[in-house]
Amino acid sequence: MPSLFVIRGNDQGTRFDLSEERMGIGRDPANAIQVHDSEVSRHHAEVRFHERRHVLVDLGSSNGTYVNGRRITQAELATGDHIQIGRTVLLYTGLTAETAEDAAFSVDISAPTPAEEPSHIVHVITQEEGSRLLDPAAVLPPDSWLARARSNLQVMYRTALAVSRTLDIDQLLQRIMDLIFEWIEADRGCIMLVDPETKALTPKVRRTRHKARPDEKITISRTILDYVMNRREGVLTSDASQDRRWDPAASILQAGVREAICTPMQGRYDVVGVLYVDTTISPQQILQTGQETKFKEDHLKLMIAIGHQAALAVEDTRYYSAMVQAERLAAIGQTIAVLSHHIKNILQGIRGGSYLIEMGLTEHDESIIRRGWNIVEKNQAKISALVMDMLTFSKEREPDLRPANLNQVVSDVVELVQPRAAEMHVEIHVQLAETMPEMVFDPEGIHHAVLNVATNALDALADRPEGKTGKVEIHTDYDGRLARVHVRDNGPGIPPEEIENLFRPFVSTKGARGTGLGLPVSQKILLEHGGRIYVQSEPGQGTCFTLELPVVLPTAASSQTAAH
Amino acid sequence: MERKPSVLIVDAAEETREVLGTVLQRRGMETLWVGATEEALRLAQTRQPDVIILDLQVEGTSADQLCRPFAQKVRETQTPLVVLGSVRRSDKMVHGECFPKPYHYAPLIRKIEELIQGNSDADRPPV
Repeated sequence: MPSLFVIRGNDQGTRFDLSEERMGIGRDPANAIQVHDSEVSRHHAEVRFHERRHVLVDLGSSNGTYVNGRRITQAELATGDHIQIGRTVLLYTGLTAETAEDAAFSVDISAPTPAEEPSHIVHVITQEEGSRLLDPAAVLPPDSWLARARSNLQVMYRTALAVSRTLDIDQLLQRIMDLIFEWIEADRGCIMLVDPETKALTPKVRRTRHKARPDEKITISRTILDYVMNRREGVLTSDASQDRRWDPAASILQAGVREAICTPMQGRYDVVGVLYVDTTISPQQILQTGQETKFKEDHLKLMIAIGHQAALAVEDTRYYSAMVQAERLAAIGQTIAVLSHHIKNILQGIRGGSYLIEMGLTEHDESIIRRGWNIVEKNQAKISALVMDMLTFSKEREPDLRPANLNQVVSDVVELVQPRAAEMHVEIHVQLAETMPEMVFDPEGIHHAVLNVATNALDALADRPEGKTGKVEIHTDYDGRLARVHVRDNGPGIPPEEIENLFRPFVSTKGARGTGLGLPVSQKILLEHGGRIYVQSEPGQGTCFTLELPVVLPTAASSQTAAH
Repeated sequence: MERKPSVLIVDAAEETREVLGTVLQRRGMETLWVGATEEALRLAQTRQPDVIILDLQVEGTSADQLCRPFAQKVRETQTPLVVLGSVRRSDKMVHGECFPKPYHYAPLIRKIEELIQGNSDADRPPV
């Protein structure tokens, strides 16, 4: 499904699914894509669907609409585009390309048939040999065209390797700098990145060749930086004072720079920073080598290419962290929404109950007070269950292990849910295992888990068709190795596609009734015991949850501890 | 003899049903319950209740989707509508009264009584 995902701004983490209808973007609540950003116009822009493509159209907004850093009035969107309106950045994901073929159906892996083989292997090359093509040690005249081309290719190959191996921007830039220094005879170098917030260039990596003093400050001409940033062009400067474009270029002279290369790090969306290297050639060196330059056009070209590679990696890394951050916020938001909804319902119940009590008190009618009190009590139980679930779910908790009887725990739960079952006209059938020795487990935890599952069974029967008898069967069994509690209902069953979400926290199919914590918490308790919980469900027939505990018989010592 | 004022309550949670039922019956009103909105529309025509209360149990898009067409059809019957739960403000329900949860019962009961009294005089501004 095509979507816009907010990766920066107040709505970070919100995903808007795009339909084929026109969808307005703006501050006004009437917009299908409402953005909470004061720098966004009321009706800022809209997304139109035209010939299977989404087109973004600016609606004469005050602050403009930008796609990948360029201001647009109308633009066709492509997957991965960054849309900026005000301070909000949205990521566009489009339709899957029509031309994409389903690989699974169109590719067959044929069994070898020795009789007739239409294709055969002509040549074999190993991975190592392939990489050796880029080996600098191979003998070639050092100045030949092929030697230079191969050396360039090798640098790019290594750059690609370097940027593909990390998600840590600082480490990535260090590697890029190492690479540049290995390959170009620079005295000093640095990489500066544009701060995403302040837009100022901030030095990230700095390197000096050992002969230069390490504490020496690198001074970089603002004129060069501005030129590179604004024109998005790389420059090679040699004796900058002779070049009119750098007038006044006092800063270069002061730093004693003779040659410098400065290239933009041009990414997919914007310039993310600059690469800078410089070198000073003394008169003696010129006399010795007969060369006035160390940096050549090839170096400049390659630095631009390296800058581009590095920029792509920086963007990917930032984009990845923004996504993680946005997803995290979305998860927190969803959690809070579910919890506050649940708490709101409990509060609503308490208000209803206390209103009845108040009315009963005014009218001196004890029957109304009692009805009100029942409601208050029920909701009090709900809120304690919720708090218990939250605590169990959130903390690393050690089960409170002691000898107890599983049949007893199950009976307690049945007693607890019996009144509600009676109210709902649901029959509860209990069948406890005849042999059930005392075992070591956390009786409170298991009580909680069985209660959650039993409550679910009742909930599943709440909306059953009239005339259908609701039935919950609870039974226990013991085979010497495992003890199990089965809770079976004859409700509507769980659709197969929902089964895998059952144990995911805060996913509830029960609307107002569920917190989405019950089953994850029950599962956690069972796992803490080294047991498990599993479900079998047949739509239309009902559902059976089984809680399985490994049997740990109390040794004499532990039962003594428990006795104390 | 004068007909008892009647309130039709749609899709209410068990507790809401108990509280509203007890309170409204005490105040001499007749209460009708229905689970689904289709059934409610049918009853709205045959029984002509004085007020319809819609309890939005699940909030969010589905509630809005459910509420909007229902509110429009109720408007055709000229019966005042009270919605329990929040409806997006952009959905102007014209004549619907909205009580976002958690609401207090006292103002809700007052509003219901007010609507019943004002039913004959629909243009009276709300107090």
